[in-house]
Amino acid sequence: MRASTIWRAGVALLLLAAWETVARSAQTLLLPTVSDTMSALARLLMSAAFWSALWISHQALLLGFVSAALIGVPLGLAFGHWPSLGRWVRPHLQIMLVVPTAAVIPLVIMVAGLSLRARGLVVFMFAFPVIAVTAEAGMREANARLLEMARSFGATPAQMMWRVRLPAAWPAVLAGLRLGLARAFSGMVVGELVLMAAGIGGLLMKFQSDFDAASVYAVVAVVVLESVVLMRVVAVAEQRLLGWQDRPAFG
Amino acid sequence: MDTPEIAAQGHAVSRLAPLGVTLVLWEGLARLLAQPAFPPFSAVLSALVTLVAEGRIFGDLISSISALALGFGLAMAVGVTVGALMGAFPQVEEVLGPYLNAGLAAPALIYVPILFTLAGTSRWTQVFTVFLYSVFSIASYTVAGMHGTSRTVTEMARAFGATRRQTLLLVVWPGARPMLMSGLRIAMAMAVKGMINGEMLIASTGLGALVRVYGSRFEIDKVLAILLVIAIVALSSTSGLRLVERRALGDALQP
Amino acid sequence: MISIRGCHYRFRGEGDRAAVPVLDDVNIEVADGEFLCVLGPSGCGKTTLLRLLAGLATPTAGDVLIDGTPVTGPGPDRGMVFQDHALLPWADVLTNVAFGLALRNVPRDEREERARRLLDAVGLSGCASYHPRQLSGGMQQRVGLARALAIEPAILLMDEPFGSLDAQTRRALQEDLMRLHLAERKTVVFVTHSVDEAVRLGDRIVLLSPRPARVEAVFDVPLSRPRPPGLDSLPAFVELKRDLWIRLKSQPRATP
Repeated sequence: MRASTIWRAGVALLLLAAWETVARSAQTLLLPTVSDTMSALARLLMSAAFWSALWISHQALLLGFVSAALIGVPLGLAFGHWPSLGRWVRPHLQIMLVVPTAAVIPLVIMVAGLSLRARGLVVFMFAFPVIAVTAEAGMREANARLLEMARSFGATPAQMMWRVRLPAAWPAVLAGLRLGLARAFSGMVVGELVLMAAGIGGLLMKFQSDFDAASVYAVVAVVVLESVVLMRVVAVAEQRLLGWQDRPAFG
Repeated sequence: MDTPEIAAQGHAVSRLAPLGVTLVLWEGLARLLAQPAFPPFSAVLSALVTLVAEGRIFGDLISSISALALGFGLAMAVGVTVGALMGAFPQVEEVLGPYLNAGLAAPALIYVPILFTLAGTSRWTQVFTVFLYSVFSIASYTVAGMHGTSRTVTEMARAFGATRRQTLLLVVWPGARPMLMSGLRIAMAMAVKGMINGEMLIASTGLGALVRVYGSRFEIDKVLAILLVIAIVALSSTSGLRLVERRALGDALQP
Repeated sequence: MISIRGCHYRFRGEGDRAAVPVLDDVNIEVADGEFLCVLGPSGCGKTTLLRLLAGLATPTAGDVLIDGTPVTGPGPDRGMVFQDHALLPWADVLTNVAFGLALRNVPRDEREERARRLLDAVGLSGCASYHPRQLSGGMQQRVGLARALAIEPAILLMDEPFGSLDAQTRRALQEDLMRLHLAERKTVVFVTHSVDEAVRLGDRIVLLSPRPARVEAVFDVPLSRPRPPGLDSLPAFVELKRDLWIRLKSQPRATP
């Protein structure tokens, strides 16, 4: 355990040293040194502009993700519960999963303009398909043996729904929300870089046009860090909620 | 009984029928509403025909696909190699694990401004965008595949006197390949997204750039026509991989 | 009193596949308090027979009567124990045992009290807050048994409940089941493909033919209850087992 920590730290230091050496010898505006980036990061974290940009970004994330969850989960569960309905919807959702969502951004602009609503819509479109598809799969694949067991104990259709089908689909719903949040985060970044310069993405663009490479790197570092922390928190929360499972289903 | 093709065709038809109905609904509703943001499907098709007839789209298609092929090929080489090393040597996994996790968690588009500062609008920006979108998935599926080989099987190999190297080459690696193949499919979908997103953000050529150009002129029928092309690229590249997978899950996929 | 009269059952054919006959004119009577074992080769339709009794399926032809009334669906007079436990993986043991009671809106205190009593009865007093995955196969099936008993059914329907357990665990559960049966005198219909298990447990044994199943023979088990000590070497036990073996072995192979 301790040995591996030393190894990890060693490799990290080595990488940083290599970066510093290359940056120093390259002597270019485009590749900042480690120390420049660190001080840019410190400046960034101290500035009010950064925190308000962060808030602006997360408004869209929250708006889009929450609405994707509120619409995607019930819809997915319904598609799974009525397979004949699901059969008609599934091909559409699968295409939405595979085709790059960013390409419909011109449509989003026409519908919602350049606004918080538009950014929220992009986030929504990123998160919705995976949330709905996963909930649908969880509902569809409800264990037939458990349903029969419940029937043998005289469960009514409503009891089957609340006591067997929904609890059985719950792990899939959570997995879908986790995957959906990851995609929503992507959608947030895409919205700010491709749709309109706003929030953190806007800040990034501004630093880039100022040729402030160190600050560009600092913003990227913040975004990467936040996504790592966010995914870790969500994974832990999921495991807590699924204490009865050895590990979450649907990797 | 011996008609799996017909069965598969029937399956494909029943899978495509819902899409057909949607297209018909789309056409009808769009004609009814007559909104500029919502052109009928026939208008999109005729826009596509015009784009193809003008020939402009081919240059962008080729530019996109070559960036996709180059970036994905590179991601495959690096992802499979690094993933295999991580799967084979726990020490390597210890050290590289955090970077892989970060790469999986962070939206890859965030790196594009940095790529832009390094490579400008050259093709390498697009290639590396595709690379960054897909390489982490490939590596992580490779690792997962190698860990997926059950302990009993590796212990069986040891019991039969296999060396560590033999166990890796003859047991663990072949066992990892199905998982690796499905990882490649998922990564391919990511790569196509990287291709489009990267082009939409900075490129001057490529399908994504076309979307941006027509989008800024609000020529929605053309935007949707290109989206159709993108969908075809996305679906055929993933199903092309599936084809390769079926053919080559014998021996052809050594790194 | 259970009466199965002239029951036929066929699986509905799908598409161009023909319907498969599963039960062919099955007639069985089970007296109150009787322990009936249904023995037959695997895949012969034993489980289907049990599903008819449970009201999970209706016969294509013929009648299933309980105390003279036709079975139209599942009812609280019958508790079922499943081959693969069919425990709710997300619920703890206590909740699983109380499942049937919760469906009937028995107040929480009362159903938990009853569930705890049954956990005692099946020897799982300390396990109320575990989840099924944390238990061994034998313990899981004890939970399944307790769940069936919790609704206080007059009839216990058991579908190869000990089929997947190791020999030792199986024996322990068999003995506990015998003890419970002796104490409560419920009617039990116990499906098994093990000759040993059928003779060990049953008052009577119905031997089914390969699919489509019909009643090939009915055996009375000439052994007292509780079973005498040294059962395994008693001539009556050994001979009945041998007879059943010979009958089973001489059956034609089931048509797939």
